[in-house]
Amino acid sequence: MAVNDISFELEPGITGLLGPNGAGKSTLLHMMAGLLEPSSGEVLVNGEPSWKNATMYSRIGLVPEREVTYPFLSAWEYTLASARLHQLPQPEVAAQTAIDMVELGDAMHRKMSGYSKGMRQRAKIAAALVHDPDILILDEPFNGTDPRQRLQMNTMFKELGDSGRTIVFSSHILEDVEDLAEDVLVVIGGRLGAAGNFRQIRRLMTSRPHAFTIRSSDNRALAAALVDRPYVTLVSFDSDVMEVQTTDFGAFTETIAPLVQSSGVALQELQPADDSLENVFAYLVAR
Amino acid sequence: MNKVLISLTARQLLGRRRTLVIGLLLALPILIAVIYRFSDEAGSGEATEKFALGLVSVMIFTMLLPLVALVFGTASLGAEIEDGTAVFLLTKPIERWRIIAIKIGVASVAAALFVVPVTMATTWIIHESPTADGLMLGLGLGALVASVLYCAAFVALSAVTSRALIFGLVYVFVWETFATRIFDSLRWVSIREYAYGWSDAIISINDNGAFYDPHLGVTTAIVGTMVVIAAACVGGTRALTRFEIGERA
Repeated sequence: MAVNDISFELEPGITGLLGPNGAGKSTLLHMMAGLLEPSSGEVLVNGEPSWKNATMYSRIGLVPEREVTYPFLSAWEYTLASARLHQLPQPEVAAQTAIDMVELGDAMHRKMSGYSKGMRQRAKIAAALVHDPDILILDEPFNGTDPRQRLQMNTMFKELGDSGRTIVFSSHILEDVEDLAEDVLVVIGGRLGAAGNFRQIRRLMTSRPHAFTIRSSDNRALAAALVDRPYVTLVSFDSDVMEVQTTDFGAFTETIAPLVQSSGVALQELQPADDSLENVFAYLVAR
Repeated sequence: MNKVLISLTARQLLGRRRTLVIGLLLALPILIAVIYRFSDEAGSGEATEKFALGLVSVMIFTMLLPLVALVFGTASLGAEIEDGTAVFLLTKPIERWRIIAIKIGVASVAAALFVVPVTMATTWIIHESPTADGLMLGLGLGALVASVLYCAAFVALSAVTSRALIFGLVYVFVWETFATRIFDSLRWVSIREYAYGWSDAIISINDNGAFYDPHLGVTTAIVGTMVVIAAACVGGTRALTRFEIGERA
């Protein structure tokens, strides 16, 4: 996915790169990691161009989304190889520290061909952390991890971020970003939709117009009760389904249940009609 | 650092299935040599010499050697680029020329370890005459040079394009096998001809076989060898320096 007209600066701490699949998140991360050449503009890492700059890898760690593990190696051999390729003075100590950080000690001598996706992901992270980089670039780091591993990785990344490292990670899952990142870059269609503090962006997402589809025992009676509400902007019918648009997500979701009850109607179905991440991002980009 | 690169490349190259298939293929010329040795045709005369040269040049130099080098040469780097593991190496502070040089070196050693003993053994089994040692050494040297040159070319090719295997096959079986026979001047750009040139420096026979037919002198072969290795190292390093993930055509 090509990206256009994107400009930002990352500070120490954790920054989330949020966007739907195919938005251009990996393209951006690969440019930062020196694996793609920008056709115009420049990407600087620690003040140096990232493109054609192999020496910068002593200060950055990359966890790509794509599989980069050798199936015939164990996590220990893989992390140790990474340490040796970085020419660390004590590669065994560094490898053991990194393996312990990702809690892969029990399985570290097993071949990675027998690992689950989450375990391979942790091995990739250990290999990226082994040289204690200032900058960590993570492309969908939570892929394949279970909730316990996710929690452990969150804690680890937060500690690394708090210790002054710059961490940027991509995700298409809002909750992943919410749990981890203070600052967020929202990317959609190769463009920067929003950038800044996560809570501000979350508020923008919540306060946007929302649409719901409703199926009930008496749609017309329920519609009559709904149109009196100031936050309801439109009610429309399509056979036995009713669509309601609201400007206040919170007020609508809090009052719909009592309203249904007071109208004497049986609610059969209530669904958000436009809550896909793509719609949320499209709204942010259009603002 | 070099040891890790060598070890990773060697372990990736010498997978059990790949090694077994190559071993079985290379057993063919030895089997034919054994059959010939125990046939009525066997001996130490000119006919035996021609048979040995013909078998080695047709079966090994024209078919098996380039195929083995193509497999090792493209797997050494191209397979890593295809399966994504190259990113592990390319995101380390390693000079790109070092990666290319080690990939070429390991692929060359692997190919030579298979091909050179088979070439020498095939010649030795067939031929028994005062010229046999020269023949064996000459063809062995040619096989060694060809292993290195083909691997260098194919490693560099796989850094440039994801279709290295196809281009390699076209080069070996269209360019070297047919085009150079139709247009004599194309032999100047043929790895097989350079290998024959090296062999010819040691082989002390006047009557060449129908297929073993060296056209280039030793000096030309040495210059050609140096040009191929230099071009592969420079071209491969340049391509790897400009490597873009997911953008290969």
